[in-house]
Amino acid sequence: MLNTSDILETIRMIQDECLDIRTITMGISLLDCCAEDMNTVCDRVYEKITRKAEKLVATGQQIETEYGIPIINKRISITPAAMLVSATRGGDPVLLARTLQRAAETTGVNFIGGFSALVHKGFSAGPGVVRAAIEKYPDATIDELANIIKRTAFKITRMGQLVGTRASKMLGVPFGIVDLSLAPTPAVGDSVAHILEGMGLSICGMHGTTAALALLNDAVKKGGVMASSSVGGLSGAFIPVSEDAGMIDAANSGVLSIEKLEAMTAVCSVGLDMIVIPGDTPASTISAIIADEAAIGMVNSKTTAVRVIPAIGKKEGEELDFGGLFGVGPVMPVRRESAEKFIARGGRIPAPMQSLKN
Amino acid sequence: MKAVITVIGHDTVGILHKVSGICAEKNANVIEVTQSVLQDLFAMFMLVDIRGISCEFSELSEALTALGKELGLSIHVMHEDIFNSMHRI
Repeated sequence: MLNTSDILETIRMIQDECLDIRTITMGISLLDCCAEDMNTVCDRVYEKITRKAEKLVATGQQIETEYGIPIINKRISITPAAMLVSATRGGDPVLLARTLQRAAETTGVNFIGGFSALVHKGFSAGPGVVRAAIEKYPDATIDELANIIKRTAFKITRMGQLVGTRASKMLGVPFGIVDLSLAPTPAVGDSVAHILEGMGLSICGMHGTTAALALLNDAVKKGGVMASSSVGGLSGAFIPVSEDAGMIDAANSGVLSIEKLEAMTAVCSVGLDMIVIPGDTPASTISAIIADEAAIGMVNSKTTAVRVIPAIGKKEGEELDFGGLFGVGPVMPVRRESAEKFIARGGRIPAPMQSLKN
Repeated sequence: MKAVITVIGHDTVGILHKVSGICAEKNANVIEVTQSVLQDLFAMFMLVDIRGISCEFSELSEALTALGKELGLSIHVMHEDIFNSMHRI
């Protein structure tokens, strides 16, 4: 018989600590839907998506009942739509967008979007469980904290692996990967910033945030890698500002700045993500933000990205509401000085040294 | 295929009887039961074989949840796999 405290732990994690499977994602290639005529493309796309993903939502629901664990989103990831559009003779992309919307409604999925990599199944978990685990040990040392996070990440990932293999089997598609990411949502209790605060920072963005995030990110990977045979995705902690209740508060209070976020991207898996900036930010400043982020990526041999949203007509201190999963973003201050001359030079920064490192 | 039924809440007369009654009705064979009462808190774990159940798993789950509501207890039924994969290497 199973250990009763193990059973209770699992139930508590699901009931009280927001343990869930963030998404199951089905990747569908639409390359074979290419045609010169946009209407033909739309018909093929609709037919293929609704056929392949017919049982996706039902499968997700069945797994939810069997294992008693919520699956928040059922998603479809498709070949970038731009590729299909470019193969037509001047077809209207809006027609394709409407078709995708219609296919999403028919299949009942929560999200449909383009993919850049072949992801057959992606999973990530809610940050609430990690925060709850940390809060149980207020006096733990940093290395003990790392161990607690590792153990929790292991358990979460095992759950992802179980659900993923089960879903693939039911859908008759090969199992892809488990994404070890901690992905926040705007819901309270579901914030990466709150994990960092749970470690002892009074607010995310305070000095020490980069160190805390580095610890979190590394421990999540270490715990997760052992738990799954096929780890993929960006794997680590996501820090999208507008999608994380704690980050939103920290940005509103003025403690969390773009500069601090940039430092944080040097130690975690992602880049500047979902950051709203004033609509009148000059293009050269945005280029400079991207250049800084690219420099961090190149020099540290890591993936990185910039997703900043210039809010046209809005100024610092105002808000931009995307609704749903994408959340609400406070317009964050950007330096008003100029990078114009540097950016206007053109050309490229040579690839960095990969030896003689220190 | 086995499932774990957990019952947690205030102790009253006949909890085991009612839960196992639903198992019998749905033809789920009870393999093991662990039960304890700590102060007033009742906690029971029941391992049941669900290979031969006479209904869909979701129906069994709904029946137990409904019983839980009626008795003011928290009753869950989950596949054994989830606990094994989470707590065993």
